[in-house]
Amino acid sequence: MSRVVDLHSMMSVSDVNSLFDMVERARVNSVNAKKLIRSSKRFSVDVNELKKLMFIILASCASMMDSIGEVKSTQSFQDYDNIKLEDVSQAISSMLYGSSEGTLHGAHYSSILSKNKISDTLNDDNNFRFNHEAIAKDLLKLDGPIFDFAFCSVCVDLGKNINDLVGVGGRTNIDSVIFYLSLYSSIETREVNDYVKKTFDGVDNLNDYLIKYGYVDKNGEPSLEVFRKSCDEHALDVLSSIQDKNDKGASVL
Amino acid sequence: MNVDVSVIDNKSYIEVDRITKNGKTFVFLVNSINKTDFIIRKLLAEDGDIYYVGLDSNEEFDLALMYFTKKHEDILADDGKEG
Repeated sequence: MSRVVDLHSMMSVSDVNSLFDMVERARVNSVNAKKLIRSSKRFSVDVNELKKLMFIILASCASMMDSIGEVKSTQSFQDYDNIKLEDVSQAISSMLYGSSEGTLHGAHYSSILSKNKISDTLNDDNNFRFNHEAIAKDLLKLDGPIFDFAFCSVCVDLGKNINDLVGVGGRTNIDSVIFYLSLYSSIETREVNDYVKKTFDGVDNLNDYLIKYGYVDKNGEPSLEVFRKSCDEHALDVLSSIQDKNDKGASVL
Repeated sequence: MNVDVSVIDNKSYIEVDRITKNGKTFVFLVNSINKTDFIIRKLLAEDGDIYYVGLDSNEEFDLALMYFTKKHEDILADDGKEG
């Protein structure tokens, strides 16, 4: 951040004033702007040209940083120390659906459940019904730790409904998702996913999964809470990984 | 390198970057003609379409700019070397 302030110190007063005007115009044109459907065309630009465009925004930051002070920026980036599963899950929702909007009522981790509930109304048991196959197919778009976090999010977001007996043969909500994960990761479809296939090798249900990966409590019992806490501890690394994927244009959008 | 260009308020804007933080995806756009004109939008998916929406507040604008700065500090460093 100090480099931005250094940049500011290298500019003349007129430069700084024009940048300040520029950033204020950008602010006026950005805050509370009207909603507009995104319709875009792809063009090729030189990398250096793109860098220049980025530099314009960076230079503008110099004037803004001076006006609001570096203390505020330091406070903002202290947020990195508090990154949790919830933050990663919302980023995953953005990867999958372009936004984390529309999380299920009462759920606060990802949009995967809300995007795959069968109807917007509660059933006779006061629960939502989910399309387990569709949930599995969305999860299969992910791999590595990002998949693990998304899977954990789905478990946590199911909340008290996680063990509702809903599936064929009396499977629970989450075990039905695991069934479709195992099925589609293994067979030759476009969902084939070696990471998920290996992850669920020998796993028939959530308890098998938790035990296989050591998510057990002090009594050796499988624990979703231990799984969630492990995700919280590694959330910053995974969020950075998602950011890298976005930077490389590897979004699943 | 391929970039997306969108028309907003009858002006063409180049999508210079996207940054996702805390579940929000910020898009940084620079006018393709007037390079001193840049704007920031958020992406919203709704009913199968993707929308640009404005930022909620001045504070969100400041935060988005700081995310951008933090991410691209290396460009400033490179510029210093070239200079």
